[in-house]
Amino acid sequence: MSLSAEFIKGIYKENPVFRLALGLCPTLAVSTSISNAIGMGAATTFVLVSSNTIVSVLIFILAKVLSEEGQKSVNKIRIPMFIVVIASFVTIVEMVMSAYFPALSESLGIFIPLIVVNCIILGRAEGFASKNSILPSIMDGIGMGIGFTLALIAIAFLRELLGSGAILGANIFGADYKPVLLMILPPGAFLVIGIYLGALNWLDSRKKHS
Amino acid sequence: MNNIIRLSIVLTLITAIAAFVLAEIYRITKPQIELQKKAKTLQALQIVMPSAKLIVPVERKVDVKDNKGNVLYRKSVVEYYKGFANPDTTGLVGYAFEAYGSGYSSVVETMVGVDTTGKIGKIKIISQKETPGLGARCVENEPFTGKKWTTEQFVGKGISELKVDKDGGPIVSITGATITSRAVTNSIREKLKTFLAKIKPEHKITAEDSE
Repeated sequence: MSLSAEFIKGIYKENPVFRLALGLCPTLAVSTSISNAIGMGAATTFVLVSSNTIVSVLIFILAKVLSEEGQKSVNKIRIPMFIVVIASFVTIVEMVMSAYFPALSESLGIFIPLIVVNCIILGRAEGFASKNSILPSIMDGIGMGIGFTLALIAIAFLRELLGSGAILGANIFGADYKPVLLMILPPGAFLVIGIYLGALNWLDSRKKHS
Repeated sequence: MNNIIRLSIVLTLITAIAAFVLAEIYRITKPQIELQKKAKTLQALQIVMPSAKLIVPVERKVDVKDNKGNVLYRKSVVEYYKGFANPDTTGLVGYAFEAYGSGYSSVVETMVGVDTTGKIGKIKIISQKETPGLGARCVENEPFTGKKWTTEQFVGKGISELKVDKDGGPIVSITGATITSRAVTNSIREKLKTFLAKIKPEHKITAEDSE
């Protein structure tokens, strides 16, 4: 696959949330408003690109230094290796953010530790970066990150609109609108994700038939 | 055996590099983070005591001891803040203190303003790491109509009124996050109790509803 194809696939064809159904836990938690979705998406994209890069470099170095048999045995501890890399990057993001971007850290601070357990990141490290060279891994990270961000925004759009009657914090329906509390609570995320997944599958099956 | 040694070496190397990088970044960012924290405290103080022109911290010396009980040095800890209407420490307008309460997933830190009669003034939540969308809403005013959580509802409350609705008090809790609401409310109540007990002999605070 070409580099641009690695980039494009994460946005629609292999969208992490809607297609691979990865990272649903943070998706449920932060898709309550669009501004949260954008911030979480940006932070996740940074960690995803960094961890993909380091993991593919790490695997490349290990392949150079170790014998074939050595590589096979080191393969057994690849998950702890990846987790150390990912957790380090998340901690770096948290420290740098609270030092130099206090406003961003104020609104996002609570979501940053969630990135460690975001299975998109471990999933891409294990499923892609560990088997590919550096450039495709970076492209994959950027594409998947943008795909994740877009999916979050799509879900947050509906939830914020119905659950708070607002878009990006700006009131849309006026003061008389009684918000649907359910949409802001976790069940609302399940409903919206389900509707989107159904709609995308319906579109796909229509395309196939025509 | 050989295999275990090899795995240990690889994993040790990786964690050692990670630890080194993190320690360096921590060293670089730490002074900046502390600066931001101070700015945040100051900002919160101005929010809870808007009429104060001068804010003076009241400190208390605490002995720092080693494990044999010898006093190593004395550290000063801020107990509370006094707000004055004039820059020459006249015209006391109120006090402020920080309250800490264990919430659902973090310690919720609140800056609390107290007026000269011992009632709660404005409050401002300084730091919390509660569940996004639920407990984390404690910093804002809930956008729902009808009964809702807002930090404004604490204004004018005394010790006996600082209870959430689930515990029979007048404080409306956050939808789906009673634990966080309770943490904020109870921490303010407990701190107010000790604060009023401390301040009464020095000043003429009349806290008629102390329990």
